[in-house]
Amino acid sequence: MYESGGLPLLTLFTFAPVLGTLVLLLIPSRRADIIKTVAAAAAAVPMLVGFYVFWVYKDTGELQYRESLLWIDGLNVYYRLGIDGISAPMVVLSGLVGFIAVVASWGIEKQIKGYFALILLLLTGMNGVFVALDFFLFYVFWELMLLPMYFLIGIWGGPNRVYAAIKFFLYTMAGSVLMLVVLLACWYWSDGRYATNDVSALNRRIELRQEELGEAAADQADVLAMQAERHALLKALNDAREAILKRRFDAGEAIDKAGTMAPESQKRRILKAYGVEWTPDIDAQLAAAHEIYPSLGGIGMSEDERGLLLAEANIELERTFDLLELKERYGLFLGKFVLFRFLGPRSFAALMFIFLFVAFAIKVPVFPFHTWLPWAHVEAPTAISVILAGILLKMGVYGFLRVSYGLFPTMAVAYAVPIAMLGVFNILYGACCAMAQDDMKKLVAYSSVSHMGFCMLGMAALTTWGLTGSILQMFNHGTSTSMMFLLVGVIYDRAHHREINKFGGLAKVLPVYTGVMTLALFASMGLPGLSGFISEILVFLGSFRSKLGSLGGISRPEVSFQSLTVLAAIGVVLTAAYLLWMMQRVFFGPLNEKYKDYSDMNGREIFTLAPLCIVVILFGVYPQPLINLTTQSVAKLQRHVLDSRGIAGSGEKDRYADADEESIEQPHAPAPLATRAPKAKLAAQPDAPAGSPKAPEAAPAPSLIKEAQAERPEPLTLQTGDREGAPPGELAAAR
Amino acid sequence: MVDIVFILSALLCLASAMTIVTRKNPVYAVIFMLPFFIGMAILFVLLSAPFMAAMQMMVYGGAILVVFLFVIMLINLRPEELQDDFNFTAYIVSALAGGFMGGLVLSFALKGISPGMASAFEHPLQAGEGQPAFGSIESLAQPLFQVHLVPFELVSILIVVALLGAVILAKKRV
Amino acid sequence: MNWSQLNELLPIGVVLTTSLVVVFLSLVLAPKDRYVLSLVGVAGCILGLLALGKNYHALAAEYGQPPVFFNGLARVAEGAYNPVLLGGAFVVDGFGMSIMAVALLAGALALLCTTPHEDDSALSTGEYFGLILLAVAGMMLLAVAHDFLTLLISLEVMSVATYILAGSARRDVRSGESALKYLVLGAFSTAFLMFGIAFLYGATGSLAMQAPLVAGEHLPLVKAALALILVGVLFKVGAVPFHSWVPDVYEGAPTGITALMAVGVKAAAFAVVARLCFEAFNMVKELPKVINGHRFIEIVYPLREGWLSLFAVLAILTMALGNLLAMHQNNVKRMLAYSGIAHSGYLLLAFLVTPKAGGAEITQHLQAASFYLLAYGVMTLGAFGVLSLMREDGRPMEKMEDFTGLAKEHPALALCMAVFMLSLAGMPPFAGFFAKFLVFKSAVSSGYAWAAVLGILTSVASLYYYLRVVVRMYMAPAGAEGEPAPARCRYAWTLNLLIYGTGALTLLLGLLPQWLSRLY
Repeated sequence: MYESGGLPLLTLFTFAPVLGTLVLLLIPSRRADIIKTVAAAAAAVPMLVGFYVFWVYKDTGELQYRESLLWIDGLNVYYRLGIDGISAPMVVLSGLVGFIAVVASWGIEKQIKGYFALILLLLTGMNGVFVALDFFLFYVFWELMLLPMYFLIGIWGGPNRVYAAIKFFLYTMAGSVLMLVVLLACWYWSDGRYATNDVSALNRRIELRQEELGEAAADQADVLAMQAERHALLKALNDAREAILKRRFDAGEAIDKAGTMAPESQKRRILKAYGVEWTPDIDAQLAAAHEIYPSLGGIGMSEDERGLLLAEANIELERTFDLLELKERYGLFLGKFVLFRFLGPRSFAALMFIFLFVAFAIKVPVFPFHTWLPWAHVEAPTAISVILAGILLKMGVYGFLRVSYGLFPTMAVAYAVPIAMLGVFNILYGACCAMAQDDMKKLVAYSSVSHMGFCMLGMAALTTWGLTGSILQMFNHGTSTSMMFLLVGVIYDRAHHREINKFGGLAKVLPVYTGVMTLALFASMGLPGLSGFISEILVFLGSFRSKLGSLGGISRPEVSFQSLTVLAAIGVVLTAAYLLWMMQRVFFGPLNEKYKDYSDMNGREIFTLAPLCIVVILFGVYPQPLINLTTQSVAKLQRHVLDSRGIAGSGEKDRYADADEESIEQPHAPAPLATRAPKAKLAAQPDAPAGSPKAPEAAPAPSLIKEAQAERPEPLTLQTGDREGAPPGELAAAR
Repeated sequence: MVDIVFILSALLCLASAMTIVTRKNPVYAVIFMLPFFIGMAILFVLLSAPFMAAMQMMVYGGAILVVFLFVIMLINLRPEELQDDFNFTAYIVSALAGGFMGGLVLSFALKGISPGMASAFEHPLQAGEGQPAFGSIESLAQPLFQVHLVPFELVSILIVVALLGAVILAKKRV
Repeated sequence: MNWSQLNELLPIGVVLTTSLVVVFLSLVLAPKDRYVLSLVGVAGCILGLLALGKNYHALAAEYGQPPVFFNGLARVAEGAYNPVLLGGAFVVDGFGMSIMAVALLAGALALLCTTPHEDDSALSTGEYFGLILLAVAGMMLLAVAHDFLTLLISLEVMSVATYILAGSARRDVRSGESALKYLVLGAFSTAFLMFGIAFLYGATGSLAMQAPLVAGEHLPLVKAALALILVGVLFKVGAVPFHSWVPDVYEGAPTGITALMAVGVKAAAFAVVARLCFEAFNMVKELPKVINGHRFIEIVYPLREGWLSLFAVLAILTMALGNLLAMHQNNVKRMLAYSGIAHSGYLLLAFLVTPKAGGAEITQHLQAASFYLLAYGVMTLGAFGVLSLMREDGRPMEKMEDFTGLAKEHPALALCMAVFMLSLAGMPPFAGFFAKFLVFKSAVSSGYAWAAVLGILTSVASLYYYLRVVVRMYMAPAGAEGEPAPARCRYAWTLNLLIYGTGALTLLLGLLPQWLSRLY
């Protein structure tokens, strides 16, 4: 499961559309039929891969189907792809919605060849974002997606298309530039350079101070603080090294298991699967790892001793763009930082997190950065709106989960409440704006703003349910909003306007259309039995149970997650209000005579909408397959983020000290000097990375709750609230 | 003495250079180049480079200045274009330039050529055993044709460039 | 002197020979066959490139590594081979070779841009083409010049040729204005340069770049000398505050010559900046035993430290001002001139090297600079190429409006132009993104992260004006009906081929930046 077989599945998923583009360029532009067929075929490949992933993928919390290829030597830029439970639903969604969007654009009449070439390029960019594991590659795909989108809106859009396209482009570009800053900074400091320097500087300072104080030094507050800081830095460095050593050790074990007679190619494949780069002296490295790694777990071993042991293994922390590697080295990003001295010494992680937040928030879009969205949606052609709402917005939340939470977990905890507040504001603000719209498309666009707020809220809550709900909300919103945009497109094709107030009584002439629209609207407003309900209820439950209610270190009930959840629940009412109001104005009431000759939906339109209808109903009734895709990875991410609180980096400790008190259980002893015994970590994951699949197998009819229990290892029982207080009735009702 | 000569000739150079730039009548401008060249030559002498001084006078004062004058005569400027608004500042500037010239001549007349300057002409500074004397033609030729032979040869490319450029700019029709 | 190493200068020899061939060939050719001259010139450039490639690979083979951009220092330090040619006049190293390649490309484009200008008498003569080739030879010489005298004369060869070329469209008043401005200000800057070289000679008694600095008391003189040399070079580069000549000169000169100036002259001038930064003052670090290292360290480091912040400030100002002023331009040529100023600013970021940097780090910086120059060269040449194709009734079409609807009439050209614009703005996956990335990376690794951040921000601002061209070509605004007739292009297969080639190269260098050399 851990490594892909011969077929590079994710490369196919990413690059099949762009191959289609190349083929398209060879076809003469007058053969519109061939162009459309080729485009649909190229877009079908990712969809099939998505289906394959949906059926075959078993979430273990580890990244699977990994591909790795050196792209730019010297900079350590790799072409690394892989999926885990966070990206798997996105892969399914992106494949499905991408194909539907291509089919939905068969009505395009202007410059067909260019249009389909660009839309396929767009699909490549988006698919790439969801499977890229290298930060650099992620960035390139992120930007690659921007260009075709810009042209698609700007050339094939509505009357204000140029303005909308440029606004979209500049907003997103501004965000991605901030991401570039983070990219460079993380790459530069990932070798632990400043941490090493700081440790030696602290050593000197401690020595000086001790000389100055003499015997009394041991209990001086400033000496203790310096020692704690030094300890934290050393620990971060050691952890980063140990992670590499562990991978080498595991790879060595696996190779041993394969036997000495195993061919070189198999050896390399094992190395690749464990994320170990092949070098000429790999055997010596593996041997060293084999010798040193087991002795690292000694209880009571000080960080200095550990560092000395690790130094024997001769592990160099090379600068890297690898997201997994960076995730393991997050401790290095906590401490001091020299980029912006004027912001104070502690702010590296905070600043980087905020930069990333803006970059992704623009895409989501979170409230102050959302103004590009209504314009882009309204001006874009139907299929592009579908892609925008169905896939593009998800890239923002996905980016949070993959990059922000991975690289800066302490900040994810520290800023949980502000993010949640923005999410709630999104929900309410989007809903209020939607209610004020006359244009159907604008209404749906604002409803997207509102619905993405749920993703933000669930994500910020950092509970199992909240995170699962957030991912599910991404998927469900992707399908239901795609439906709504397609349906708006259907009526626009007939009436050539989208004014809600000019319609009326359409239910009489367009019964099928009305039925499908009703389904989409109900799914969107979260009616039980339809997909939207599951994700929204998970988000609410998850965020209500979150105990991260602290803002700026002061815990206040009015900004706790409970009160935020209550506020967010108002959003559901507002959603129902604007959607039902729109429905009433468009479909019921007296029939506008102008529209009485309209034909109902044709075959192609039904063809594009039918899969989405099925998905919406299926996952509304039985969401478990979707949940199964993510459970382990969500647990792992949650562990990663919440664990980070135990290992406070220098200076970040006090920021969330109160959060620690608020949270239910301390994972570790609160004293900053406490060492996390590596053995315990090992026990928790018996033979990771290939290990955890046992859990899902052990539970033949897994439910969300059971899995959460089975998977979560003992030392890490964080969210007891989730486990004990889980009302199974809610989920049962959903099923 | 050397200092006084230096200051005077440097000021002469500056004053005449300014006059060249400010003249509207090109003929005047070109004629003012002469004191400029003379001042430069004196500076070279002060720097113990008599060969350079001689070259300065011969090449610039003799050849280039005359070519300039010929060109100006050939382009047939109309009389009104040659009119020079000989205003007050111009008087001052030329008076200054003249004053400096006079001062220089006067200083030579009063004090005679200083021993140092005289010896620069007759016995250039000795740089060491077997080395050509500083400021001599040999000492100039050695770096030019040995150490810096390559740049010296490169000047030929520069000359070709100048030649082609002149052709381009001078061609009337193709 | 080791004359056998003249082989390393073969590309320059090829170009010089071609220039003479072109001039003499023009005497026997009928006026209507003059286009052959430009093709001969291009053939010379291609031959030069081939010779360059051959040398490069021979050198790489000798060095026992895949082709690497490296400076003379690395080669001296590793003792493989002494790159210093002809008594120290030249150093033909990887960096110099990359600059030579850029100059050759620029020359080829300048030659092709002028081919069908039958209407303009002064252009498309043998002398004109010969002069272009001589200017290219000057740039190539400048790229490998290793003492200050060679540097000065190479610079003059290049500059004098470009002064004349800028004024060669004699029927165009703007061309004359351009030439005059360039000449006067250029001569002024050369005077600064000469003054600086004289000071340096006074302090060190040598014209070699890696000459020993005799004593600490000459330090002020050396500093003054460096400042003056820098002024002379930064003028050619077009960095703020020596940028004011750029827009007028670029706008007035014939488009091919503008491309030559924007790419070739700039690349050659940056080669000089690189030599000043990395060679003139780092020899000591690499070879402390050759000369008395102790005194060196005392003298050289304060110089470099002083430079760093100066360079950072100049870079920021150049980027900001260039981008800001480019936003208001309605003439695409003028806009490209301002964008060229901005790109000089980005390039300056690559030269922020901490005084204690070692050879490997310097190699990284040089690589960033040479990659940037190559990428910038390729995309700017392409953009100017498209611009020179845009002509209607012999009137050049350079306004933003003239690009309206180009995508419909000439989809391939418009696509290339869009690629160039987006690449200039630094969008992945084009070469411009990677170039900027390398430059910002090198600034960050020297501790100038703030400069990198500011650079990144200005590059977003630059999107605005690059996109204006794209919008004109692809998304003519709603009121397009009343606009002038859609752009009309003349067709010249050689130039079109070159444009497509540069377009493909822009993409290729972005996708596989290691294609030409290993990166560090």
